[in-house]
Amino acid sequence: MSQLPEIPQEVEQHLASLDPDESRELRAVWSLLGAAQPVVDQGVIEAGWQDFRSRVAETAESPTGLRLVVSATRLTRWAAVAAAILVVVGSGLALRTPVYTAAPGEQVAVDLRDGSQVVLNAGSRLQGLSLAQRVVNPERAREYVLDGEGFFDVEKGTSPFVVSTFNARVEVLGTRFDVRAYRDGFTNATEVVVEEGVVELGGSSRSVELTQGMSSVVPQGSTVPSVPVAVDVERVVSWKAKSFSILDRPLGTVFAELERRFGVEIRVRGEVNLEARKTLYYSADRSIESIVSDLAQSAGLTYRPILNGFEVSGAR
Amino acid sequence: MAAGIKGSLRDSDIAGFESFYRESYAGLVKFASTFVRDTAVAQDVVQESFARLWQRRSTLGPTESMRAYLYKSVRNRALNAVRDQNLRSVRQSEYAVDTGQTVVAATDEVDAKQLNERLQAWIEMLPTRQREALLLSRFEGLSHAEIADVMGVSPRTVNNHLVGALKFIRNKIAAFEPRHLAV
Repeated sequence: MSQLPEIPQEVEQHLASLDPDESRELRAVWSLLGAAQPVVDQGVIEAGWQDFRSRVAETAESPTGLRLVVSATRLTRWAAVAAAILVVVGSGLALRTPVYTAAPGEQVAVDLRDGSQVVLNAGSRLQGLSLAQRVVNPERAREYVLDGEGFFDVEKGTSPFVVSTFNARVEVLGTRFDVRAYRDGFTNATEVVVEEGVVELGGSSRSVELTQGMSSVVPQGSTVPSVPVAVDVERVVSWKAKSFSILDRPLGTVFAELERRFGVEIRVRGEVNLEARKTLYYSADRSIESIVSDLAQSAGLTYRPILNGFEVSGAR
Repeated sequence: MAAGIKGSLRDSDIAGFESFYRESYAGLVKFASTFVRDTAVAQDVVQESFARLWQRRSTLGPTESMRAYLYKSVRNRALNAVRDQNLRSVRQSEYAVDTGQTVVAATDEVDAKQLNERLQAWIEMLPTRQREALLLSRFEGLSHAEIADVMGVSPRTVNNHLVGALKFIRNKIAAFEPRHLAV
């Protein structure tokens, strides 16, 4: 980059409100910083380009493959599928279903094809449609199946963005929302919280519209979403910032959540009331052991570390 | 510039993509390095983002800023890479920068090269978000709106980060290189 940017207008406006000396100094800093512009090594760029070129070689040199897919509507569907399979059969992509997985103990951010973004919470899986399926059903290109929990930041688009879980379907055009559909034996439900925009949550027989700050639940075995209620959205989605937050859930769910988030095993011995409701909040830097220790104390249990986690014991 | 690149990207034109790539690559690697610190990882992150953009080129909306898209993609991937790394090692390298700075600060008479080195060190010392905003605005020439998009904050917050960064560096210059401020 040969030309360095001028001081942006917004910064100028702010500087104008400061005392003249300070404003002059900050302008000088902006200008001095020009000297700190990183030196660009042409060799590195060249190497980068060659590497990139070889990575995309197949698609770059046979653009017809992509054109076929783009113009699929003019072909019959089966012909289009056959063409798509033929074109990409070398790379095996046509039938491959995109699957994104966050293993226990990790969270994964995913850029989706349409520019939407998803952060998957620990122990979750998101699956999209294969290229062949998308060619057959172009209007379903933005459909995904979620197992676990994900926070979705959806780009506006012409076709609906759909997240299906084991018992519910969430449909939007462009918004940010959290879908939680773990089944741990204590909390078995699809729970949706909307951070921004409007979301349609459908059980198998009825659906509700959720607006900003609202939440609704479809319990397993139910076909109807619950009446929407206002929730503390920030708290619900704080898992993205690695916080550990539990809002009024059974102890059994808390243990399952700990197992996923920290990739550990929580073994339960003796009499432990796993239905007891708990509310907890820990910021990102708290260790698993300190959380287990607090939990045990509050529930009148003892705990000890085991090989890959903790054993929690109640009275015998 | 942007419209032309987008047009050529849509047409699967590798030559158009190549010039865009060559123009943006170094800045993106630098940007990725502010998160991951390991140059090889940073280069990987950038490469993946370009590959993604290349795959997506036929579905890009007409109003999307190509640069903002790339920087956003690089940022997400870099943050993912950081997540996969050992957190402790990230902190250690930040600490190394801090201590390196005190060595630089010992001399008095400085030429342009030394000033440049100090500026680099001070940029490294900035809080992450301020550093991000500064790099994107000062060196990559992104608009406030584009930076806001990349960082997922409002343009007003971008401005606060930028002014904060300028003030931080002004204080460093005032302490170690005061003659550069006395214009």
